[in-house]
Amino acid sequence: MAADRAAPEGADGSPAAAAPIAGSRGSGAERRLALGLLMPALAVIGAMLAVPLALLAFISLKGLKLGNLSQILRADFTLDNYVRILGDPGTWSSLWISILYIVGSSAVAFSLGLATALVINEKFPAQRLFRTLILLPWAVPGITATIAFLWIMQPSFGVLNFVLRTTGLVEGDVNWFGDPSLALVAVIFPTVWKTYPFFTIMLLAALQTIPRDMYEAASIDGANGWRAFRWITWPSIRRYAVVALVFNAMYVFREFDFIYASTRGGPNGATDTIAIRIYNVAFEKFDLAAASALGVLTFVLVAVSVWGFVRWQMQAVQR
Amino acid sequence: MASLTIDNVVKRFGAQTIIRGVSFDIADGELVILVGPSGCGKSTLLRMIAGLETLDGGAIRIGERVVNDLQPKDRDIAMVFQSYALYPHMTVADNMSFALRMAGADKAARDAAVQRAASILSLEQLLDRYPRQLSGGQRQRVAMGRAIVRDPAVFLFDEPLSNLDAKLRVQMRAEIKELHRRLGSTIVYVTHDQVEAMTLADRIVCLQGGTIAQIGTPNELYGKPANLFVAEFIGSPAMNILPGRLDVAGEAATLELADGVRWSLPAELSARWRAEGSRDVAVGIRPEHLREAPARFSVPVDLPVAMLEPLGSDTLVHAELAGRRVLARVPPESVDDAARRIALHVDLGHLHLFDRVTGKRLGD
Ligand SMILES: Nc1ncnc2c1ncn2[C@@H]1O[C@H](COP(=O)(O)OP(=O)(O)OP(=O)(O)O)[C@@H](O)[C@H]1O
Ligand SMILES: [Mg+2]
Repeated sequence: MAADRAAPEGADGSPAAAAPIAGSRGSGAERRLALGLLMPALAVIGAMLAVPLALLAFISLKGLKLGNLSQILRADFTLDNYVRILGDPGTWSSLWISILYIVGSSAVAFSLGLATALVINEKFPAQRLFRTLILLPWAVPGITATIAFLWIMQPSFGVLNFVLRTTGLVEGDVNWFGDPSLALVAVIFPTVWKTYPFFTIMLLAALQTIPRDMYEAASIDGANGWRAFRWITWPSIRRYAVVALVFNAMYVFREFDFIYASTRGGPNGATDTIAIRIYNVAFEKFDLAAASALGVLTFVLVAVSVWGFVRWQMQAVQR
Repeated sequence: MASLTIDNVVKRFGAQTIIRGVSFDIADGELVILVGPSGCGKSTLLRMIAGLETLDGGAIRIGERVVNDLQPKDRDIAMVFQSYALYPHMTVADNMSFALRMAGADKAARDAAVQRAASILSLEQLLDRYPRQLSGGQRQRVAMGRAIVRDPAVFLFDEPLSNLDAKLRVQMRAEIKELHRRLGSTIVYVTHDQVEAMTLADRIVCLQGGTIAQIGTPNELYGKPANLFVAEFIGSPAMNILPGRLDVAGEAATLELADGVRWSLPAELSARWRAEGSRDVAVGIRPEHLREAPARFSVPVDLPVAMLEPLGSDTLVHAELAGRRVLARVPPESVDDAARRIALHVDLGHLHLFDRVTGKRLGD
């Protein structure tokens, strides 16, 4: 199908573009050629994205909780799944937990990433080595990281509690993953550890686009230290920061490894994010249709909020 | 406004000494230009005045105050960078008022200062634009506006015009000169450009390898270069330098060049150099002193022509004198395109003699 569609487009585009590019007509032909050349790739990517999405939407509209494709095809169209999902208070609590999880982990990871980027951006010996090392957590698989953190945060002999006890910050054992009021904080630890290098790299790249004489001009104008950050650094990296935050939020929103490997959404639903809920509805309750409906809703929610957020930020930057 | 004193200033980068004990004074309201070949330390010296580089020795005084240990912002200076270094995310007005804002000035005071600078530089129409929406010349003007708004004791310019095209450069040069007259400000200005140095400066400081080769007015540096380095550096095209020998015998003096060229110097001229005694010298002749017409003291020469460079107003003649390639600047109508030889007159009254070993100027 991809090849079918690409061929006529390409044939259309090339002769026109071969003519000398003159006046307004040239740019139109150029654009058509460009589209023609992009078409095969667009078609493949579109198919890979659109087919599963369409299937998801299709299943979510069928009145059959679980079955094979022919059974699903035969089932009636209905909005029951959506009613069931939206009427379940668990969905709303999951949404709230997801938001807390995203905001909490992103805030910490962003601060840590920004701080490390600012440090690494300064000249010091073995700078390159540090730049490489700091990327390591990013490359470690989520499950591995989670297991490490389960040990680190183990209540009686984990290193974290040991440090907290010896410094006198807590008495007795803190049951990080087992205490419903702490479990969300607990899963944020490995999440931050894995995601902050992404911010470091993105923000470091942004910092390196700021010319040195900008800071020199600012120091003559009386902006040093915090004020240089506030007036020069932050406005220069703000766009990059927004993009990094959006990407990270999407990544964390669909995050599964850390939570499933440590708490499975518990205890008592304390870490039951949307991603975990979709999994549980589908494979614990075997309600594939409702899980699909939740998936569709999630997709729409993410698309709309990313679009709105980026627009808002870009307008703010324009001003 | 204030005077500026550079007192035996030293700067090292690692093992390399870049500025080797430089001293000079700049009077209140004076425009001093630092020139010198690339890498001689002009920018470094300027950045030390600004406080962007530390000193390894000596002192810098602005007015009566030693500023060695002051932050750039506390030195009461403003700097115009070669790259302009405008803040890309701020409007022209915000760029210009940034220093006042950092100093805690209120909005009314900031606006008034910006308006004043904007009207001096005709920037009123551009105040709401961002730097990326400006042409090169406009950016340059905004960079100057940002400096003017601060009303500093000393302005520092580091090659401010080098990113502009030739025509704009001439225009901005005139504007800077006009601005200096109008504001009466103390300015230190770094440039590569001969013409900028000659036209703008009250005095020129010519640097060579981290030391001062000569300080003086443009006419002094051009008319009486203190050494071979300045002689060759100032002036474009550069002065012709020929090896020769000065022979002093009683009242008379003769210059002997290679290939048997001998010029005996009239008594009025030989008096200038008699005291030096007979010695090896470097003879300096500016291109305009190889003349097509005779002067009061001149000797005729007939030279083979290698090439002509017509400039419109003048023609540069590449010719051969005493075995060396020399340049003569003559009126265009005095040479014929196909000429193989040219008859010129060496203006002995404007000869420069330098010690062949030390390069020091001989005579007055
Ligand atoms: N931060 C630095 N670290 C080490 N060496 C430096 C540093 N800054 C300048 N230098 C060296 O100091 C010397 C003088 O540099 P400077 O920039 O003052 O030259 P300049 O006279 O301004 O040259 P140009 O006309 O090319 O701008 C150069 O040899 C340069 O390599
Ligand atoms: Mg320089």
